[in-house]
Amino acid sequence: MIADRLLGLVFLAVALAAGLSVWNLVVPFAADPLGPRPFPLTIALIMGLCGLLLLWRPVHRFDPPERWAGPPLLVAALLVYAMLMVPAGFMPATAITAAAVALLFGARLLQAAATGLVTAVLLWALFDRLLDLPLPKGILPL
Amino acid sequence: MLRRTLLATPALLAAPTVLSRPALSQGFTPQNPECIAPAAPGGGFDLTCRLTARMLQETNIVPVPIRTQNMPGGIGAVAINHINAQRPRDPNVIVAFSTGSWLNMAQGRFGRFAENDVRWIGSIGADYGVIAVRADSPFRTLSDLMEAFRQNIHAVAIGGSGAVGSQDWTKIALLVRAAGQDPRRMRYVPFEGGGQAMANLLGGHVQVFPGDASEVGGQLDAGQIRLLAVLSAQRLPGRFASIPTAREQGVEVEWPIVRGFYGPPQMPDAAYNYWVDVLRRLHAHPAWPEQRDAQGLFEFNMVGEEFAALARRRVAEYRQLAREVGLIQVAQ
Amino acid sequence: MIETLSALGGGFAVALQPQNLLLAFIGSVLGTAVGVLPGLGPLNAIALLLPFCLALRLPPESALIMLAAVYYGAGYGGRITAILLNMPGEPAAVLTTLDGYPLAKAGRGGAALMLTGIGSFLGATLSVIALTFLSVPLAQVAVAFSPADYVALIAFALSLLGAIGGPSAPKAWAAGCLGIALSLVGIDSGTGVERFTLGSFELLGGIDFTVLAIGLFAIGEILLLIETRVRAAVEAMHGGQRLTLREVLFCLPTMLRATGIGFTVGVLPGAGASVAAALSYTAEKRLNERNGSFGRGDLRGVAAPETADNAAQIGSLVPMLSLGIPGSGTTAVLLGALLMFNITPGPLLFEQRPEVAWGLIASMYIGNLMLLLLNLPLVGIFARLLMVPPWVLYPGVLALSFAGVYAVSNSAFDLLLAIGFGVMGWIFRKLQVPLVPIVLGFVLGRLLEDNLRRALSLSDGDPAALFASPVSVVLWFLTAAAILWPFLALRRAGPPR
Repeated sequence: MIADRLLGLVFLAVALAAGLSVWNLVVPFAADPLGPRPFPLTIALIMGLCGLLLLWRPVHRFDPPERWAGPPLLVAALLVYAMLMVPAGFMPATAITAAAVALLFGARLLQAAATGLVTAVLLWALFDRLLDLPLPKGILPL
Repeated sequence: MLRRTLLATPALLAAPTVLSRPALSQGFTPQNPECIAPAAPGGGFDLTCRLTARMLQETNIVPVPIRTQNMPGGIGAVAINHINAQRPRDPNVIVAFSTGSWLNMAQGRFGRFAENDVRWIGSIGADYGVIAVRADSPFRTLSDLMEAFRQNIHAVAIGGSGAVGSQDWTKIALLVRAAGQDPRRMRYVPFEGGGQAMANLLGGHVQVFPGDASEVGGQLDAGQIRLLAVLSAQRLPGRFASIPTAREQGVEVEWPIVRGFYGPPQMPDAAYNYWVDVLRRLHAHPAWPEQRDAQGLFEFNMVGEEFAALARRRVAEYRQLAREVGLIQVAQ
Repeated sequence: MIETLSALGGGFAVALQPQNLLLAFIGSVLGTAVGVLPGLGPLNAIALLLPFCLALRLPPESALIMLAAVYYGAGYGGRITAILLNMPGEPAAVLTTLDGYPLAKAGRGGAALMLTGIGSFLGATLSVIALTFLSVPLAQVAVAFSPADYVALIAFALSLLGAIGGPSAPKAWAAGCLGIALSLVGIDSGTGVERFTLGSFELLGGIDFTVLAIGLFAIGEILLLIETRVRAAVEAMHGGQRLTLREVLFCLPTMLRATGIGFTVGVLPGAGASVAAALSYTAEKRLNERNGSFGRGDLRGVAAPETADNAAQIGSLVPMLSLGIPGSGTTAVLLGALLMFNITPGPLLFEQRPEVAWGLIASMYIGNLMLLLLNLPLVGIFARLLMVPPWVLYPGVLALSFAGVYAVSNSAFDLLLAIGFGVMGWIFRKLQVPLVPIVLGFVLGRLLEDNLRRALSLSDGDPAALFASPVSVVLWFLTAAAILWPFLALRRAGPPR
């Protein structure tokens, strides 16, 4: 119940922020009768009302995760992936991340390493070589 | 069908052997050169890169393959930021641009980067703006339309591709200004792409479509639309030969949609001269006109400093217009 | 009629040449393969294979036949990930995940894929027949559809969304609003001002659909799975891997209705396949509300959007072929390809280059059959993908998603955005906030605002223009009925127990 209340609060806050940002738009000139404000304001209003409804009448109980560590670790791995992509290159970044995610899904060390390596090489070959969509080379001398 | 294939093949295969010397290197040879297309695969810039790169390699003007890298974010802003922040000296990268990029620079949409933060290499060709109306429109000449603008600017519904401040909008804004009217008062209806604008013109929902020559050919041939003017300096060839320019009708408005490439801001001179030379040789190649037509482009050959001067002049003009109509704050 | 048939015969003579048959086959295989990749849809597939096509120096009709095969092949490829991995590659496939993924989790992914193939084939083939005989009058209807009519059409589609909201109305509505707000990020086309960009130039051009979908669906789903450390994506492949004839017949009325809706909407240049898929799914759900099985793995929930999507794809070729107007981003690229072969797309195409126009149409009859025959035997293999251990499958899926997003955007920003949407998707799942309204709001929101403002601009601010045409009146009437239906149905059913 508390989770739904929080959610309602978040929706309300997002609606307020969105509404304010649209309200404060500087419009150079009225190119059309409606302008850029009314539509998003209406949307923000509906979202805000829904947030209030949730605050007032929460519905669901929140199921706590079975393993608290899993999701944050996965998100961390993905963030590292995004940051490493350019400096380290696609293949190293992919190998590391895929191996880490494999470990999170319960792979043994060797299995994870193999998954990382195979994923990285296969995807690079697919995108960079076959489809001719260049991926960052990074530290590898390719 | 078989004959056409046979005829086409030798022409294209023979061409490279005639002119197979790579561009004069002047101490520079490209290594793993890249063409950045500020669009997703399939966008306009993407084709500029992919088709031109293919042509450059086939004709051996550039002896190594040029790879296309897509960088679609922020209507081109991501590409110019990338090139300034990550590789300002890189001699092996060129970026595709069009007149639309000049407008974005003029309106300050590329963050702090603008026309002086790149090295303008040159153009590969240009499309031209046209003013289209439906075949049964009461506007028979550009003067009719200009007269209508003078009478009541707000009464004419104009449908174009893209936002206020975009190319289609700017074309018509220039006309409106030439008619002595305020572009802010015109009734411009933005559509998602020229196809939708054309559909609304044919459906009679809008009266005028300031499109591009390359996108109206089919409807023109079928007699469904009439072109009041082409926005070029001289008349265009082919099916457009009978369409007068705006200038012929006493309206000093031109709108070439130039496509070409720029390099990073501190590209070494040797590399810059190399790429300028590449474009010059491309323009001179016998197989190029056909390839250029296939991209929907007319001849517009300009490279090097002459081209850089044009780019700066145009951006300055567009900035002036954007200020006048309040698209950017004067303080900027 | 006779003329059309003989012209079509001429088209078949072109399309049945061994070279063109082979190209249609290669095109569907390559298209399917690229379409499977997350982040790459039909538009990208065509663009990537276009230089290859040019390098082969094919005559225009052959090249076009191949590119068209890539087009529908890629559409089909996108379904495989939508059903098996809950990863929609394009907006229209979002609806397919609703029932397709539950079916896959229940071990019936193969059956769902097979039904997708049959639905696509049926929708596409019936639509090609309609295209063959009706394209000229239909094209006139397409251009007559005004911005005001689009407003009514989109309002109708949105009004049906109540049907897929899930248990909590405020959550569904808030989610839909969130999706609409996300669609408004970027430069406003009416005035050129920036909305919701938070001062970031990366957001000027708006948020890319694939980034949103990969975040919400792929990353969000995997975050949920890692909580439980799943042992296998699917415990076992149930015997019902094959689709029975009975099941196909059961879905037949749905598919026929979806073809009608899909083709009609697809013909309109400003609506597109996602509107078609949404309309047809929600309409079916409304019609079959009684058993409440939609959203939990109802075969009809897969058949409806799939059939409608393919019908709409063919429908969008109507304005392209008979008017030279691209009805979607993908047809715009096809038109560009025509130009490259020195063919001017336009109303005269059928007269000037009949071998191209009719060859293409005839090839679509053949190509769709080919796609069906190609995919049915492969369905079992695809479905077995889920038997791969999770520690291979999910790292692979994540890396594939990232590679797909990065390869077409070259922007780490998009990756971070996708991760952000992934976390949002995970939290929303935990809190039972439905995700589909977000995506549909994202697809329809901007369309609604743009058309509303266009309509009001054309009428000089007079709202009466929104109800001016007969079409719009009918659509508004349907909208009102869709909104009021739950209340009326409730009353008829008596007080709740």
